[in-house]
Amino acid sequence: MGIGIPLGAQEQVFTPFMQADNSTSRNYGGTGIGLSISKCLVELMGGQINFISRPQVGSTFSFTAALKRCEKNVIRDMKRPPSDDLPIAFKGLKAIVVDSKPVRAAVTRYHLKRLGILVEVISSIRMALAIHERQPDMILVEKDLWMSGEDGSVNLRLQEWKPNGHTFKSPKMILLATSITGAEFENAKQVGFADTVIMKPLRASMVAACLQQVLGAGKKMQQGKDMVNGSSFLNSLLCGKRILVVDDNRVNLRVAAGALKKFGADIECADSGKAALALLQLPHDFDVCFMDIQMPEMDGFEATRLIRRTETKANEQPMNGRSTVEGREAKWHVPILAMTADVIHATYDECLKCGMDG
Amino acid sequence: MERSQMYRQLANMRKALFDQGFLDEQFVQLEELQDDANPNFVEEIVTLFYRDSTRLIHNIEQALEKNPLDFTKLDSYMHQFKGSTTSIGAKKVTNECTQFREYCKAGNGEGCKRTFEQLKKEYALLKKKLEAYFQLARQIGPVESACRPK
Repeated sequence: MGIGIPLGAQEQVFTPFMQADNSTSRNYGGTGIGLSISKCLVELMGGQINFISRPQVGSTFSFTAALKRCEKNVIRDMKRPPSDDLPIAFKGLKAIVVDSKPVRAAVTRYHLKRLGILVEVISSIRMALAIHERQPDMILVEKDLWMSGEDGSVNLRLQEWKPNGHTFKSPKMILLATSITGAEFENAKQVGFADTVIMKPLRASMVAACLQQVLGAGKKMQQGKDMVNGSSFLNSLLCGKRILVVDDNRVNLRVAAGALKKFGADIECADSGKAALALLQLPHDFDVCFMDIQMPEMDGFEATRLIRRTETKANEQPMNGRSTVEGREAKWHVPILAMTADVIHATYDECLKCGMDG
Repeated sequence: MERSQMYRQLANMRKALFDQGFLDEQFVQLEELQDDANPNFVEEIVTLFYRDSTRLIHNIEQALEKNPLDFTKLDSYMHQFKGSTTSIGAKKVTNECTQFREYCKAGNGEGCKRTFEQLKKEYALLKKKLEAYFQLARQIGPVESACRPK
């Protein structure tokens, strides 16, 4: 029993974006294209779609379609395991997973196995480093284990771990974590961990991309699929970066910060253009700034213009005595990216005009 | 076991919120941001939302009492408010916001006032439902990974 379709509207139900009346979308949601899509699909399958409807009683939809029996092979092909989509370059590599929690370690092992990696689980860092004969290619350490500093191994300079007399390349040390702060990441790198953190929850494709980055140049990757899927790329891009998020809406600010922290970035928030300017006074240590456009008092465009002006002035100054840190550009230009839901008023061109980078 | 009953109850509450159109996909995005480092992320955001939007609601109310109505200002307030409601996935409330802005564009003062009353109702109703939901969640306690009782 349903509300039925009013007789006057029945002719239009298959028309795209038409709903019986204005209240439908408010009460039931939807955009009014479901039936027109259904009609297209049915007709593509060589059939017809029809309905009977009485207001206050309900509607009955029916359709015909011409179908063929499928060949047996198709089923077998469909049962192919999804791991065929994963790279094979890791097959045969050996990993030690350092984790004191057996159930969690089992999940990690499962994901690595899907990549063809042979896994041994060990419950302490000290033990893992003591087992030389295993000759692992990589050692994955759960962040909480490392941080708890069991046996003082937090301060263990991993680079100094040299097996007695044996010479073989030391394995890559990688952290596994559900979250990580910029400071923790810096600490980890100083002690010898790799330049990327494998973020949890684990996804085999993301693990593969991280490993590719760490084990990197030596391995020839199967370039069939683009393995740098969105999230792992963001993970390696944002991990440890200092990001300024500017939005006058405190709820949005919190959500944006939460999302970026997930990728290991170090977030600072500002709730106005003015506050952003204050924080971006030179010198500052921000790697990038995400700027909301529509803000009262000073909007994103104005704030960016002012920031660029300050930067230009500073860049024009002669370098008297200012030491250039190696690798760091002498010119100030913090990447500023616009955030907006209102694409009509904030066109891409306008963003570029005031000095934004995207 | 009592705990598993509470889990089921919580799951049902959550499902109902989605099925009945109170919440949408964005809420799920918030849930995905919750983790060990931010164990109460969703509740914190929702609390922040209700605290932050009280001011806006008040502003809109005052603006609606002026004569003649300043539709530009009303639209601007509603734009800010809608930004927040969409961020937390408050589907029904967001729909009212959209409707309100339509009336603003059309210069329909009566429509605005009517929609605003409806909006406040949805806003309050959602608040009650979410409070009940979070209270139950807190009773159950932090979700531990499955382990045998000691």
